Amino acid sequence: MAEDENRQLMERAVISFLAAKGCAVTTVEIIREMDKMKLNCKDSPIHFLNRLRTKGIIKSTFSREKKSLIWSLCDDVKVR
Amino acid sequence: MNIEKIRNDFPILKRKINGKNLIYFDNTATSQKPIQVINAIKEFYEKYNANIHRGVHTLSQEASEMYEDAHKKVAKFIGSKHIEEIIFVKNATEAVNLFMYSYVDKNLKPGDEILTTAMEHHSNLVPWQFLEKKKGIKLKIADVNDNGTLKIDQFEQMITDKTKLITVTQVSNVTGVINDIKKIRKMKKDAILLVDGAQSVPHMPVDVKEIGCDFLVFSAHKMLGPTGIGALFGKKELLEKMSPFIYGGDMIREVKLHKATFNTLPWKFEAGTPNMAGGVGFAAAIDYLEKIRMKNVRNHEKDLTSYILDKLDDKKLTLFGPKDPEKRGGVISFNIKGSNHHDVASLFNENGIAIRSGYHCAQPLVERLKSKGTCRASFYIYNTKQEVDIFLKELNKIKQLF
Repeated sequence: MAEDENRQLMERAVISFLAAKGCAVTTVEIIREMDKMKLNCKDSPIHFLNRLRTKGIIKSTFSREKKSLIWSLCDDVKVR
Repeated sequence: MNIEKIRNDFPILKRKINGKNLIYFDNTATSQKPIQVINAIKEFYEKYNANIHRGVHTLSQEASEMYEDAHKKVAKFIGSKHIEEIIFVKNATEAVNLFMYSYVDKNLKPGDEILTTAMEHHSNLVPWQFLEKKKGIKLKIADVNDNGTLKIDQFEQMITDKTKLITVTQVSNVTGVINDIKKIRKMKKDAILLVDGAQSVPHMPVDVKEIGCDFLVFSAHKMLGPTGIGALFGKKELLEKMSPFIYGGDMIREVKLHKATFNTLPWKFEAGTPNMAGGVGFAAAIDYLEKIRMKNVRNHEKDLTSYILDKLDDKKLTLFGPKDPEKRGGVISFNIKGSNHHDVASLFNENGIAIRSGYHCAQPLVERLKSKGTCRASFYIYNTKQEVDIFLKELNKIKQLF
């Protein structure tokens, strides 16, 4: 599978996961979910998260309660 | 060393990240480039660009000389007297693969043993796993202690008459642990010794004769040079016996329709149009480092390491690697208890501080250290104690969040 296809799959998976959860999730929860796909090395998911954040698709904030960055879809993102 | 003067040579250090002055502590991944290197590459394209070893015209001859001089500079930098012993490759990973295909695959037989360590970067582990499966060569891996240092007695005990290759990193890219290569050489003089110098050659004096290695690999981009170029040092008598790795133009002496003879060293291993501008940039990086002197580079990083280690003694932190700065390079791996390493690196980034997080392409080592990833700060010649102080201040703030 081409790297680009991998990336698209991972990005779609992140978006679908966040949409299905319907609430903000921690970095560890996302990494655990992405790990199941076994598409890239274990350090990859964080890069996909940051790319999606840069594109304005997802956002993150620090949660003192969960002691983690928590990630969610930006309000204007529509999931097909 | 005049650090302020050095810093002025690095344009990228003037950048602001998230409104803060950039503090670049990800030097283990890649180093920044001084203006002298950037200008050397620019000047090559502006004044000298032509394909080497082919044309009779002035540009081609000048470019050829510059590219050959770059080999000479690299050779001298690591204590080799022969340009023939320096093969330019894409990076250290390609150098290991060249050695694996052209030497190890051809010379080792099923049942022969390769000895390495659990602290290797994937680039000095995965090729041997491949060969183990392909040829039935036994891959033996010496363990590390809980502080990341090599279990040197175990390592020695694993050497047998069948050990044909010992392949070991000189400095760990995760813990900064420095391995005693001279001691390892003495353990088995008749095995081939490959040293991964990706994290040592940029940061300390390395002399191939002094450490006694047969092969040494390293990348230019980690030592102020451009990406896409690195070097394989090999003893001339060994390289001469090795088959080419890639076949095609410039690596040949004569070609008939059904046969070819090959060029002399090092060109036999450099098929096709090489990375000429990269070679010129590599040479400029070496000029820069030689002006500073590698002994001073090492001392500066040791000072910073000592300075930060003194201040990192905290129950909320897990530190990896030995405490003694003499036994480690300028690489500090740590975790804040109860945090995810990527979160911590992201929080540092919000304040303009670039550190690395994760497995650092050494997953077996990180897992052996009972971790799922670490934060890593790593230093180079342009880093200062003031930057370390800012880093520590941010670390204290971040710690309070967990």
